Amino acid sequence: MKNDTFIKDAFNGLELSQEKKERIWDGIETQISAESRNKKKTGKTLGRFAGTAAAVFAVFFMLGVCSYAATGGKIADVFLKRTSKEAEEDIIKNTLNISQRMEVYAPELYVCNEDYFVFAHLRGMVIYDRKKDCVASLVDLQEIDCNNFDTESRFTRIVEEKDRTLVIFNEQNDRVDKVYYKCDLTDLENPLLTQRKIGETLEALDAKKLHNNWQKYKKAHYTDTFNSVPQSLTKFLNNNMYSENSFIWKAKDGSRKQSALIVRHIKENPEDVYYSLFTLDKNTKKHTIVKLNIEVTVDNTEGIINKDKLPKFVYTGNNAKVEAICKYMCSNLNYEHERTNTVYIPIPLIYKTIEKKNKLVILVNLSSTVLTRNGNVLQDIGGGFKESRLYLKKTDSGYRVVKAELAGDGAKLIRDIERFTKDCPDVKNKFFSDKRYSKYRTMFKKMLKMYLKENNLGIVYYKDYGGDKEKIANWK
Amino acid sequence: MQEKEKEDFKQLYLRQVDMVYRICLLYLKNKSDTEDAVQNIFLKTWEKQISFKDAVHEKAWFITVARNYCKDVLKCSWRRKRTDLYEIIEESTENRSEKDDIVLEAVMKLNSKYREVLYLYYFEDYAVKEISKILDRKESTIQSQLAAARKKLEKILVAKGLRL
Repeated sequence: MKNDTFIKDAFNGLELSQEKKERIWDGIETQISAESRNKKKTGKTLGRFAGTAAAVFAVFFMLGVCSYAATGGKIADVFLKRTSKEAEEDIIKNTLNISQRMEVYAPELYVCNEDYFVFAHLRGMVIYDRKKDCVASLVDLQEIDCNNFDTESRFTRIVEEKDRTLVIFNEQNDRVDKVYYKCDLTDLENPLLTQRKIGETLEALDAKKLHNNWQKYKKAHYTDTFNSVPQSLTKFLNNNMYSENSFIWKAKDGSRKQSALIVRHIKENPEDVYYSLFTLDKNTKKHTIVKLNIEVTVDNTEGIINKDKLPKFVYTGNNAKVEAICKYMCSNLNYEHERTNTVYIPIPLIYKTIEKKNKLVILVNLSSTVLTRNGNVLQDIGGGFKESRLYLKKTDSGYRVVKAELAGDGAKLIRDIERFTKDCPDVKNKFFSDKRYSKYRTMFKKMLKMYLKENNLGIVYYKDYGGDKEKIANWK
Repeated sequence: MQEKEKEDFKQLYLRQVDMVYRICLLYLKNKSDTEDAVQNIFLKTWEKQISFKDAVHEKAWFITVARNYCKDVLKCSWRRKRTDLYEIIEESTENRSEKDDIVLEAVMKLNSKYREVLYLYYFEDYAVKEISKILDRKESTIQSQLAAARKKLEKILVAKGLRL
């Protein structure tokens, strides 16, 4: 049966050359010989040394405290723990899921030069080594609450203070948070993150200085991508996601460049995306697009999908009508169920209930939202309103939706609503009242809290598109 | 280390290194990571001082260890420096036809579950029953994965203008 010899042939010759086999063997031999020597020579001493070293290392990172001699031992900087492996995976995954979150723009660059560049998004910061053409390291920005991007009033700023030193801070209404961070990128693969408190450190910049530095940095390094590229490139940009603002930098040869990230979709599989770095020489107007090495393999993606699959919403309240409506919505109106890492939350807004024997007629706005997880944030990626008239029948355990009249879109909307609100015209106006937003918001909070209570997901924040992160625990 | 032990281990290395290399390549698609993986897998083998029942056990053990090792590496796949497949092909020791390269490239585009069943079935010449044991999947699953892999492969190859 194994007659597809072309498949077997494809693997032919895929083996190591004698030279490489020998080289690898030499490596193995050296290591096992060294191990064996060390075992003989050092015995328990090595074990003790390793134990002590490990303990010192652990103290350094767990307590994470360092003091400057010049401050007389006063605690100045707090070294933060390295980003965990799980967080690193999460950051990469979220980098690649960016297109699935209905983002409009690709992440922005905060530093760019011939050696490396840095970009950041809601989950973390990615440091890319241009010389090695690979991701050098990742920094968990959620951990330090410096992930306020694409927000309304609270913003995270990232500024290259001096070569290979980033300052990361938050500001709201031009007021800078008291705590800010420095990220030393001397070793790109091992960024050293320290926390500083304004006014407590020897060389602390005051809040005003931080803010002013950002303003200067912004002015010197950012330009609107679309408006600053030659017209011949605008079509290309429109076909892809790109950083809204390009980063302007000076090359070693003195030429001025501007760079932006481009996120491109692979046509055959729209969920597959890849990143490129777009660079335009400001003088020659010549550009380059370099594909970046940021990927999760298919194998790994499968694992991630299973791991990250958000549980489905199940109504656990005690209102039988709402329960029936939620069941109906989840089964019939959830068009997102095939997408990974999303959850459909039904938010039925009931306006009128007419009881007829063991039947109910309910005029309801079947509003809903779809959320995706981004670390400890549930991010809103869409939703909408659906004005409806539902017919519910009593069952042994509660109610069941037996018929539904849903308002259509566009021209059908008003016509359909008028038709199914003939016997209760007051509801028609309620469907369009501005109050529906506050009604929606109240119900949304209730349903989301219910969902999170049932599923221990470690979610802390909710973020609407373009809005600030909202701490769910603070919701009333 | 006893010289005899070392020599035996080198013979084991020479017996299995090509297969381990190919399996790692199928997973990691990357020359430098694959070479690192090969070295580490043999080092782990040395550390564990495994004694194999027979040649069949030895081969199956290395397949399993190589798969597991690669899966671990892929968990941190962002660290990998991608190498073009052509670089690997260029280094291959046998004369390969253009068709072989196109087929290999297509195989590499498949999901790893398909890549490994194709490899074990066609190259290592394992029967479905044996693959099922090695990969700990049902025989019916292996059958359907083989069928699906062939179908997907054919689709890619036809799109590349290769007549089979």
